[in-house]
Amino acid sequence: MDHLFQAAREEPVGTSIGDVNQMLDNAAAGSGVSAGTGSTAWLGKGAIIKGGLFVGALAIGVVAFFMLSNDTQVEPVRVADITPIQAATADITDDQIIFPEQQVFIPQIEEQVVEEEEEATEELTEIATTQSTAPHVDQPILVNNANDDVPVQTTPNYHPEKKQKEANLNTVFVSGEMPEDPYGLLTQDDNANEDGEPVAAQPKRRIEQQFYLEYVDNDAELNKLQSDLDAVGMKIDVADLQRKWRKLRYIDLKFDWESVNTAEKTDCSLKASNFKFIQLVVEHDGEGKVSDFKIFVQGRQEYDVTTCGCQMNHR
Amino acid sequence: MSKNNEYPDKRQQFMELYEPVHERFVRFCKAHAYGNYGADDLVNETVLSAFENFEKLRSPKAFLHFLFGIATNILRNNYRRKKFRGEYVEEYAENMISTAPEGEEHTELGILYKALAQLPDKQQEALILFEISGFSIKEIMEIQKSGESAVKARLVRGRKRLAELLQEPVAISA
Repeated sequence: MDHLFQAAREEPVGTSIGDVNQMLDNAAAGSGVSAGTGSTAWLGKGAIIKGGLFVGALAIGVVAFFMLSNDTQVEPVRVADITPIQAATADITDDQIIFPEQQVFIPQIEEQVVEEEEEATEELTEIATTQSTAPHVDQPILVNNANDDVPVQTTPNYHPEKKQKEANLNTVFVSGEMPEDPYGLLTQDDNANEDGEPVAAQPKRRIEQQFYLEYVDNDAELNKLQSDLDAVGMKIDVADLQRKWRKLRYIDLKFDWESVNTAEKTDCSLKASNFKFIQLVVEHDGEGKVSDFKIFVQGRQEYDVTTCGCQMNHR
Repeated sequence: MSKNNEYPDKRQQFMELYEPVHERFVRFCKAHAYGNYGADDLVNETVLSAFENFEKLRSPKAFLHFLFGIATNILRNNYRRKKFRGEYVEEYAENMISTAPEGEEHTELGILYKALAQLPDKQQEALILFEISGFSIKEIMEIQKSGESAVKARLVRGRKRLAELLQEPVAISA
């Protein structure tokens, strides 16, 4: 082994120091760039290799982009082309907005949403300070729960999974899911059975009921919404809503029904596709009957809905 | 100072550090790149890269580590790229044009370099630096950024393994 190492040590080297100097001269001359410029200087053969790698990487990136585009079957669109309704119905992820047939990289849209939400929140803050019945909507709404020391907390909320569904909008409101008398408000006392006999108190469920109003051209669905609203004791003329709020292509009502059932006043949040905050304020008698129901849009009281057979008024 | 005037200074400083190790560096490249990469190409690539990034060298004392580290990285990257180039087909491999120096494949040096290539990287590197390039233990410590005991252990283990590969009696003299 040692003789092999010895042979390796004594083997003539092919590249002389003169060769290295010549190579550096050629590289500096060939690059046209001062080698003193640092990391951006590309020299001779190195420049060719690096240039080739760069072009190769660029080509791979372009091919990958088109492959990805084909795989997802989406058509990129300009951010400027996105309307508020599209943004509202989209599934917004960290870096993009996706709606049924389009895909857009979204940082600008996200900022827009945030800005508009902040604007609306500021306006609602003003409402809260002037309307004694209107809680501050940009904070969690704390409602006393009769059976629990822990306050029930509700927050205004978007429901993007629902908003995804209303990409194709038409002209008439329709309801979303609304189970029949879901909380026993109309049929049964918490502590009595159907015959009025006392039963063990059932633990109260935290109940959040949501329903969605969307434009469709389907009278049957319109009627179903109307009946759903009637069934829970709130009479809202959805056809009138449609006429008055034609610009609102989508609204999302969110009710905390338990808080409705146990507190004298609560509010419900409602957001519309054009990012206006709409606030619902519900007053009731503490026994499950709603006595006052107001809707605020952008700080103005648009509807004063008194349930249980009362009329709905517009302002 | 303009960039044009800066260049000769940089070149001079670089060559002052490079020239004393040139021959040993070329031997290192020749032994280390055997069969995988052209030795001259490795020398050229490394020198160009080292010169291009010379400003990043904070201390002349680190030049050996800087220079040999670049060479090692180039070889490592080349090896990684090769791994993705396809499956080994013996018939095809036998017909490939060797990158080893012509006529050297079956010489004693060719056998030595092939055996060295089968050692773990650090052992191979330490053995080449010590036995072929002629660096001292201290210099190898600097190049490999390792302690004396680690370098000596690599040399001992490397020689032992190399002897097995060459089917020679073990002679340890680190």
